[in-house]
Amino acid sequence: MSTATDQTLGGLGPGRRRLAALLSEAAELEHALLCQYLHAYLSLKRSVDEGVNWQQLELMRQWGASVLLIARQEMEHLGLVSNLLTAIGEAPRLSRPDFPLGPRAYDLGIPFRLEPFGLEALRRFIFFEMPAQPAGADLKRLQALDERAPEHNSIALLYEEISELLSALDGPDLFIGPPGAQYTTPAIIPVPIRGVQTPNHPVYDVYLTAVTDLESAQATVAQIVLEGEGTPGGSPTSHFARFCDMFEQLEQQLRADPGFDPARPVVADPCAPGAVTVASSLAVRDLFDFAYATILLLLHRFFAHADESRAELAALQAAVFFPMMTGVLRPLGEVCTQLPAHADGATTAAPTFTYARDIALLPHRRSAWMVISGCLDSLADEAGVLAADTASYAPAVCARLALVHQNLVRIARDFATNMRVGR
Amino acid sequence: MILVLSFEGWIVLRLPTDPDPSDEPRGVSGYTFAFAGEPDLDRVLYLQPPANWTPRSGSPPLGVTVRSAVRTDGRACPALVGATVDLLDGPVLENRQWTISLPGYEPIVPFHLQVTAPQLTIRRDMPLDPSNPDAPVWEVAPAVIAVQAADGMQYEPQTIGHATGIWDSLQVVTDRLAMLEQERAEETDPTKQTALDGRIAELKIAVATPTDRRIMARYFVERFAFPMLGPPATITGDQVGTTGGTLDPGGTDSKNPWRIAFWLGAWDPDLLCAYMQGALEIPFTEEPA
Repeated sequence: MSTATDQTLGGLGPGRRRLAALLSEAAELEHALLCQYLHAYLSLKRSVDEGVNWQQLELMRQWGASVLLIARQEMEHLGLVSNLLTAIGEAPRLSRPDFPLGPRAYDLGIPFRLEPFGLEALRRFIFFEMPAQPAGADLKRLQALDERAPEHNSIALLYEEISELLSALDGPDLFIGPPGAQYTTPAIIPVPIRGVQTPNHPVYDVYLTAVTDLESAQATVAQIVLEGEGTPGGSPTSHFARFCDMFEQLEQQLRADPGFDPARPVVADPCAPGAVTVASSLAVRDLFDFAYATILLLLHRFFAHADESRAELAALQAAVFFPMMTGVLRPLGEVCTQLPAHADGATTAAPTFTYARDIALLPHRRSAWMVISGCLDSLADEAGVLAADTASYAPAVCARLALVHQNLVRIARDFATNMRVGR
Repeated sequence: MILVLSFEGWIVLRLPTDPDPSDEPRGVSGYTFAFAGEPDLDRVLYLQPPANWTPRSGSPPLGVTVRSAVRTDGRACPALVGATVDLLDGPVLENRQWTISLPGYEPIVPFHLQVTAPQLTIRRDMPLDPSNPDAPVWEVAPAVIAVQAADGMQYEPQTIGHATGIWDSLQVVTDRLAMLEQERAEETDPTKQTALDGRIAELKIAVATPTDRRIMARYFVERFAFPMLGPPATITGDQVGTTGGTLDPGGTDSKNPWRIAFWLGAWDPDLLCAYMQGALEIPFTEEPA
């Protein structure tokens, strides 16, 4: 909280340090949430051949769409928190602790773990996203779901404190980051909705705004809270409301068909040693994790950019968002949960969102492009080897891996060309 | 002299939409889907209805045909009117969700054009890179792709309105929703009921958010225009009787190449249909009677 010391130190006192720490924590949290949500999505069965009927599959399609929308908005929240950090002169934070994390982490009282889509996962997700102090209809809904529901949401309280600190510390020395370092939706998604400008209409449900002063900072915090917990006003499209809907619908389905399981039998703790022992499945899992780590290296340079040219920023954007996230990471994740974890085939593999190397800003521009280019080349090569392994993978899996390989070849080539990295 | 074949009609395009991956089989995070009982999405542009294809209820008559065939001396070639226009061998919009190109700037690969009239068949294959026709799309340089790719997607409600009669996309969707709810009330097959439930759920999203792509997509056109180089055309049948002359089959180095220009638009995310309108210009030599 702001103190007189803060003012005499030009706003660089303990209150400001607390704000920076809370924003870094918020970045870790948003990042960890989106990984857990993506993991739940990736576990969903995708065909009636996997033991569900058409009616269930249609419901699961809508759940999948909803979970991915929420995950995209968590990415947006990570971007918004990066903007907040940059606005006060701090560095974006894109690393986070490995999974699983116990309930004491972040004082949440809720464990962080990679879990398949189901009632247990949805219950945790609801607790993550519930209003700070649930009351009224929200409280009734929570208690109907689980009598043990927490009385408050620490993530929401975290944002409340961030909001209070922003107001208390507002002054000429608070927003000292360069406005040009802020990212907005057009920088992430450079093509407007097919030529039509629709002001204030989020593209792909993502709406990134610049933070340059107290008003925009508070609006950013309010947006995160509104999209997540739905307050004020009890938004029916908040993450909290969406997860509650899914929980209630799944419960209803289970009452009608107790054998219904929307998720593939993914391993219980994909990060545990020996969670996956089939070499060909491990190879896909590791390729997913390598691609994820490469995305983080790209995002670091994107969100913490300093002396990049416009062309270099465009090249970063062109590599990291659509191609890598949709054309590489998601297909690899979907394939991974189809593959056997062990020789008995009882469970399937799952991504771990683990990085084998430390993820930090690669500070020197030219060498950063060379390191990232090398990662992209390696990813392309490894995907090519896997795609050709028809002895280990079913034809449909090989076809998906081949497309991932082709996409990576293209991404690597374009990145090297745009960054003028010798090949 | 040039023979100008004008063509148009509704096509089938069962395309996953971003942010789904380009090989997404059913549709999840985009706004197009394969619903219960339907085959997977395949991205293929079907200018003629696919075999064993059951269009979704509400679909327009499908198929692209020649609407006029006129030589630049003003003489009509009525024997070509009504000819089917097709793209063969599984053509797809090769954008790969921003990997190959930005949205609206994608090529159609392969581009194997065929016009089929009762007495004449014209086929012309246009490789993406005429100097390296076997190069896969992901290895073709962006500048080469750009020659044959679409030139962006433009908001042109007047173009759509004049071509299709659709002026009010929101009304189209509202009417469709009412029609499907009626159909759902009368449907007894559980799988078809589920498919209708899915369509209805998506249309409700559209009606609730008129700026959503499910509504706005109908107002856009994506224009293609390029010279057709590559291997000479294969022309079979009675050229003189049909056109009064001989078509120049063209070639990779043609000084006077064939040209094609067309647009795709009026994309209906519920029906997975789009409209196509354009013209093919073929250099032509008149034969003395």
